[in-house]
Amino acid sequence: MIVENNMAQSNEQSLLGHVVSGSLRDGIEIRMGNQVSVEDIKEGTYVTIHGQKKSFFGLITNVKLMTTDPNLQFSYSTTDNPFISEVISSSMTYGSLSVLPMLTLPAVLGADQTVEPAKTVPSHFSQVFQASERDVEVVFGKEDQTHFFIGNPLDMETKVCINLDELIKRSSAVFGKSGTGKTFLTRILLAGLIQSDLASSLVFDMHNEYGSTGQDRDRGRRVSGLKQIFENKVSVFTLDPENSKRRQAKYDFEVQIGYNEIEPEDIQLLRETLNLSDIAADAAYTLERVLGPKKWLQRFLEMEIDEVYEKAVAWNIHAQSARSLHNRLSRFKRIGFMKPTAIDDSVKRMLDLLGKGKHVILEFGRYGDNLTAYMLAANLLTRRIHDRYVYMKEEAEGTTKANEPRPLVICIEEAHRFLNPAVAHQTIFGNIARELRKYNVTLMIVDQRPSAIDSEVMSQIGTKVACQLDNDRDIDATLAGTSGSRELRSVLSKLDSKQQALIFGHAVPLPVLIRTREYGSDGSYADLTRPSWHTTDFGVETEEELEERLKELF
Amino acid sequence: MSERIGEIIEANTNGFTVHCYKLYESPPLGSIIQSGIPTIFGVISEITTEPLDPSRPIIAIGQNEPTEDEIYRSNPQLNNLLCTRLTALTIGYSNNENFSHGLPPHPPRIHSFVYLSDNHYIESLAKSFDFLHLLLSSGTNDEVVSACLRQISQKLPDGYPFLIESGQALATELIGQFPRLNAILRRLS
Repeated sequence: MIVENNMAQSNEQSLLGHVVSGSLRDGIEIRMGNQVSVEDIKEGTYVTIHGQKKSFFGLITNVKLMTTDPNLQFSYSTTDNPFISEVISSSMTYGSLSVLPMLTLPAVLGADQTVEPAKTVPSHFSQVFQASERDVEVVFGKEDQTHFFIGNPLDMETKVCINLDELIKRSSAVFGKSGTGKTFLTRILLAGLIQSDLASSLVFDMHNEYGSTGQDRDRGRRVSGLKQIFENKVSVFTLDPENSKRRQAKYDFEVQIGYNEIEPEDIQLLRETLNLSDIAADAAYTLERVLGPKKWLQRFLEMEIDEVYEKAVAWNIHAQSARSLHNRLSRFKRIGFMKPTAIDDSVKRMLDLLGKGKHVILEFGRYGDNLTAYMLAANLLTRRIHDRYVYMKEEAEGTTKANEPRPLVICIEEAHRFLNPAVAHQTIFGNIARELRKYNVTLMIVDQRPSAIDSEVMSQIGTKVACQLDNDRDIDATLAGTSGSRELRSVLSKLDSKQQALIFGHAVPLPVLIRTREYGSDGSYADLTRPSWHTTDFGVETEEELEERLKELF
Repeated sequence: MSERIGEIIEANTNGFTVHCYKLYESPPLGSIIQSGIPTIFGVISEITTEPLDPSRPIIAIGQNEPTEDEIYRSNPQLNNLLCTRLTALTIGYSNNENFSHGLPPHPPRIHSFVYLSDNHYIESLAKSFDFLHLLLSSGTNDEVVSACLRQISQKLPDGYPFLIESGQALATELIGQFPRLNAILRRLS
């Protein structure tokens, strides 16, 4: 694809003004021409600046009212006298835009020439235009297997695509206050992963919103879940079959967790939710040692409370701690999916499916509201899957790349429960976030309190998608370490609470404010299953279909 | 060409002084006048009526006259003893229809006839506001500037857009001098 990015297109675009001052660090100032009204310019709009040698692509971060004379604001005649008002408003006042130059665009875009981060600023009086649809397309790429259409820039119909290859290389995060569309966005991102077939995904579906059906609470309608859209590519597992039946939601497999699968580390993770003291939580390690690995929990829970008291002394555990541990762990008995021994090795089944390129959604049914159950199941399953991936990856080392395990994205909600500073070092999620892509497993974190997530984990997140956030600490945590964070901060705090998100990080060449793509209409589902790039010249979707057609012919 | 109003009695490149033919009959302050070859254009910046002979001071003589006009009727010699002079600031010159803003290479000759400029020249002059810089930097009263702009706008078919544009030009010239700009604009509105 060769796209001439020359100045000829300038005429089609609307001239906003000229560069008058600025710096690379603080952004540049644009004096707006009189023909453009400040009221028509929105923060977050893209502009292209035609410098003498290069074109720049930037983001409007502030709109200001300026005067050439500071005394103007003290004069009444500027408002009382219509003649003076007309003269002054067209000469001494002007709009000014702060623009953060993000990228430089080469004069001609060829296969080996791409956009680059801006390392300088355009020269004085360079012309500034509102970015055209084609500029945006050049920057974000055309929709294809690795570029997934996620939404449109505000006020534009161009498709903003995120680079899924980059998205899955590192962990990603979706942040936003409750009710700002986190789930919708996550569902769209997952749909992108399924559509592209670049990675498998495992979704811990706390509120049963991804697999079967989801809710569009604003429009009061139900939207299709991923299983409904991608019937053959998605498997739904449930921890609560009763609930699934009641919801008339189809599921493929039931998951049970045996006591033998629980390890002392899981108890550490649950320390806060179970309200256990440090000593009580640590006692689990002693119990594992004295009662035997895999059998300890089963044996411990079978004991009467008096027996626990008696043996505690012999085990060298504080008696009260042992008692409270016994007491709290007895809650496991009330969790339906926890059995002394599981009927089936669910993890193995999941791994098989993930290995075949399927996507697994684990519905929690009623247990989504039970934090203990959610954390226990998520941590335990992820640990085993991760162990397996580490094994597969090590096995594949030294052989061809084809033997490597298929990339896996694990999507968790309420992520701060697993990744807060107190437990992030102990949970497997903390490990995955830190180890990055070494083992081809990354996280997709969905959370409403980014400030509660360990800063070490936050620093490893590659791509962040932020819906509206209004808590200062959450905004700080989200933007920590991002270049231009001061400018982005004001963009982030002014997001609409619906259908708007700021995406920044590895998967996009520059921070982008988007209106999320449509999800919920029949047309939108069709776009997901049959994206425009997917059809071949013969009008069929895949190679298999093509082969079938060939067989039919002969 | 319009009516002849007088002759140049003193000239330099910045401006010239005109002796009007008739006592008290000078064009109003701010009017555009022209004279000489090449034609030099000026804006009337001051009008004076005074005795022809500076050594003969004027004294009050109308104590017993019922009206002011009666003073002149009873003393017809006054029309010859007094004269009206005006001073003009040069703003441009034209040579063979090419109008140039700015100062001429040479001042007009003494006794050049002076005429009120006609609309044709005023319209070409109004196409640019370069003359404002000359006026504002000449040290003349700002009232001359506003009077001149008002005079020009009255001669144009549609004067209001001209006044707005001249206001914008003044805003650029008087950057950082808002009270001065405001005073001129108030006189224009």
